[in-house]
Amino acid sequence: MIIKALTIAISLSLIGFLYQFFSFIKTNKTFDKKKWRMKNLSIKSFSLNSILQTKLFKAGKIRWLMHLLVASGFLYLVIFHALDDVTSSYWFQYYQPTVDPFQFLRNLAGIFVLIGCVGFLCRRLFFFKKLKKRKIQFKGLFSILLILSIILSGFLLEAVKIISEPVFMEMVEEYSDIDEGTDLVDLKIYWEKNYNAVFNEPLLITPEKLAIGKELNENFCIDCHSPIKSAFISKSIAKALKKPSIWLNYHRIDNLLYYVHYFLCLLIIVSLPFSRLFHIFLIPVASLEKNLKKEQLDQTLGYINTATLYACTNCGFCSDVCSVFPNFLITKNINTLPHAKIESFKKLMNSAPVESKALYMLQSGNGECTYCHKCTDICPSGIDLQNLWVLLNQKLSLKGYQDNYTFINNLSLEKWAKLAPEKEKTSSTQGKTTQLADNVDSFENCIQCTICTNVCPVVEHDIDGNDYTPQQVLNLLRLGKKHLATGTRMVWNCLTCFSCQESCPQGIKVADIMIELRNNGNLRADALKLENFTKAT
Amino acid sequence: MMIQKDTDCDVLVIGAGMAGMVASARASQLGLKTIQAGNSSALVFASGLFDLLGVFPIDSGEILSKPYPAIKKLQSDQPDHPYSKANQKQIEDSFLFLIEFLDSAGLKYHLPGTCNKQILTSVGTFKPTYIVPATFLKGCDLNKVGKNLLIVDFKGLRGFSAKQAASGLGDRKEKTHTLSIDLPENKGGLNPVHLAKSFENQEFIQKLSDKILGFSKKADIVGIPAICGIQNSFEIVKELEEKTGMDIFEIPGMPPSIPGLRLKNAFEKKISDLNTLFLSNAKIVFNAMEDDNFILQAINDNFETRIKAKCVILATGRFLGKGLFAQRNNVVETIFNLPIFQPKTRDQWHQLNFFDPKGHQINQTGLETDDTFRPLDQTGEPAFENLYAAGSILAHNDFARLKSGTGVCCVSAYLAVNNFYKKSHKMRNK
Repeated sequence: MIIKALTIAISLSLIGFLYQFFSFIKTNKTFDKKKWRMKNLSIKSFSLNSILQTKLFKAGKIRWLMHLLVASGFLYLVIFHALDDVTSSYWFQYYQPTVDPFQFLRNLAGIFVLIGCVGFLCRRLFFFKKLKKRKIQFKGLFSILLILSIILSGFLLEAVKIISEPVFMEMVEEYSDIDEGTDLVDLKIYWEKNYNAVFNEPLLITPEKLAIGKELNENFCIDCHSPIKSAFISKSIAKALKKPSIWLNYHRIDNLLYYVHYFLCLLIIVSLPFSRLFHIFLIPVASLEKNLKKEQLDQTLGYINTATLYACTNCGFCSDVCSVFPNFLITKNINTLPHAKIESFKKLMNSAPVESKALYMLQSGNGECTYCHKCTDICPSGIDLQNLWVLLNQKLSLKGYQDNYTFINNLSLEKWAKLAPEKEKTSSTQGKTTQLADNVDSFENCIQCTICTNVCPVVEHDIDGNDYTPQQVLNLLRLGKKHLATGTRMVWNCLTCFSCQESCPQGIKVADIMIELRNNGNLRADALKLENFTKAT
Repeated sequence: MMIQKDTDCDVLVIGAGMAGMVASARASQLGLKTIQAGNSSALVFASGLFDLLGVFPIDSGEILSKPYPAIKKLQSDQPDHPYSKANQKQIEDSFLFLIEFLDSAGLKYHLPGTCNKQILTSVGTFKPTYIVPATFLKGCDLNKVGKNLLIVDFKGLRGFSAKQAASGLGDRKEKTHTLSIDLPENKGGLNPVHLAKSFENQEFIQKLSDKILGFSKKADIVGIPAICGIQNSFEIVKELEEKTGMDIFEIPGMPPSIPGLRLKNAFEKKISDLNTLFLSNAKIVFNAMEDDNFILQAINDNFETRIKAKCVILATGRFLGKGLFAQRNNVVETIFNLPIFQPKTRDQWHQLNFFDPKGHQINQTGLETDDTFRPLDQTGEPAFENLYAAGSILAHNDFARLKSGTGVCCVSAYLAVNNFYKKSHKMRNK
């Protein structure tokens, strides 16, 4: 039955792997004509990041240590313990699970994994507030708890077996020629004293009996049973379980625990391709692709390997270092933060329909990105995040979701003015706000001398790229056409170098007005876009 | 965050126009500890020409060729005019000082003579002026120069057309040609400052001189709008002359004026070299007198400076410079609230005819002063012991009609500083 269950679990897992593999292949996308090339692979980062987790080490030493404990401990347990029929017993002639060093190493590996998992949980607990502020969800909880319960059930199983009288009797029957009688009692005495076994009948300990028990032990048991002290964790648990031992032994809890332990292991096999544990396979895939440097962004291949998106473990380091985190605090748009953007990106790549408002939010969040490269630098999974944001921008603009600059640039100024809300067109905001453009005192002194235009580096650089010059923008204000001014290219191309403001003989705050107009235009573009998209759905 | 600090000085010059610049130039040259406060001034609108007196009497409609005899007549006719507080020697000295000061800052003018020059403007008229920048010199009194002329303009440069400029030269016997240069990289229109910067580029000069050379057989002298570089216009014009083998001169034009920008840069550079502190875009508030010292505050977006000054030169200009402010019924002075000479009622401010030969009464508005340029209070006595006024804020001075703007600024500022310097020295010697 056990073999059957194992076969089913492994087949399910394989089917899962194939399903994931094909869904990745299906959603892999190329936006550009450029083709994926061999030279974009980096063997160095692949090996360093897959084996030593170098990027995690850079991101956080303690976290790296915890991760290494879990990874190394679990790997040991899988190879030398779970697969011992085909590995350990094949490699080592004298192998028995209860023989040193295996008994000791199993406990050590177990405690490694245990410490690591508890560390993971503690991080969440200690940094709860900080993570909550950044809206980082705890997505790997299932996997961590699964591993934790496997390890705990393993320790319990070992402890229950140590104290178990039925197991002792089975072993005696199988591996010795001792019959019921004094010899058995002597061995029991020796085992109670030295191996923490617990027996139902009262045993009287004398030095003679112990000596005989020791002899019997040497004859029949010691080849397969190293001293119990090397099982340092299970031994302590066994001691603690001394009181309910009779109940435990009577009900054969050891058998129950064995099945629980086994079932949990099957569960982890089945869930592997669908849980956070899948990152074990995806991070090497992501690390294999070379990360683009900050200045190479224009060389992006326009190719998205969906597998790299799923390599994200949602650790939130990227959002920790994100340059535009303050923007998120103001806009409250979670799609400003990389860890949330990647989740939205996943949804976008699966061709499932996404609400257009969600796409709008994604565009406006991604639009905040300054391409500072910090997220790519820190990503422990080795994902080329910044490249993803460039591609996300492309993908969204293909779908018609543009940044406000492009949006306004593509609209004609007439249309922009036409789309303005009625109250702006009639300039009834005049004098009603504290904005400069709404208070005539701030621009009525303009004498249209063109000094601002003459010192403007934007006008100097590309006179044809601008529809209005600074002094003409001010004239628009004087004509009560603020709703037009907010969409002019001059306003959107302004570098805010303040040359105009410093040179104005009338002391008009030209650059301040430009910034203010752009902010106004930005808000209106946001509203317009939102309106369009809600209409579309 | 407001930065606060205290400072003191001998002379505080309020204003950064022509008069303010001359005053702080003179004061810092005399070794007085000077602070200058002003906005980004209207100096960028200045044509770069230095007028002394171009028309007199005001309604004569006659262009003067010799200014000094006319000034003598003006002094006897109008004892209130700023020129009546100076003699010919002082006027000559003040111009000499100005020219030398600018020369030391790398901006070349010719030395003052006794005659006015007739200079061709961009609108094709001739304007009487006293001194012109060295790069303008060859274009003066064109009607007396027997040379074939070429006038160059640039397509898209607003306010300058070669044909319009040439229209004033119809009386000449010699031929006048025009050339319009099309710069393909600038389709949307040219701005003077940007074009002037491209004159500092060797390739551009080469291209331009190649185009001018096409006219080498037809013309001997070439007029170009006044945009030949900002920093070293003299060298650029010289280089163009060497490349083409023709005489080259600049023609003054519409604002923003590059010669004005050159003036501003030259003043600012040299004055800051003389360790004069410049407080830009600061609003000046007069607080009180303290032991014959002025206590003023200079307030900016970022700083607040308390200034203790022995002497204040008020060169705040008229309405554009905000030295005077026109209220509904009267005109007031904005810093010391000094009494203003002005028409009694508002309907007397302007004549019905915009081009009335007598000019408008509002242009006579301003401060009345004693012989040392100290503004007077209600009683006709100097309002403060060491407050001087200079430039267009002075009353009885319709500089636009008399073509005497720079002259009034230069003479009054120069003499105001001199007067204070002499007085404080006398005090010290006693």
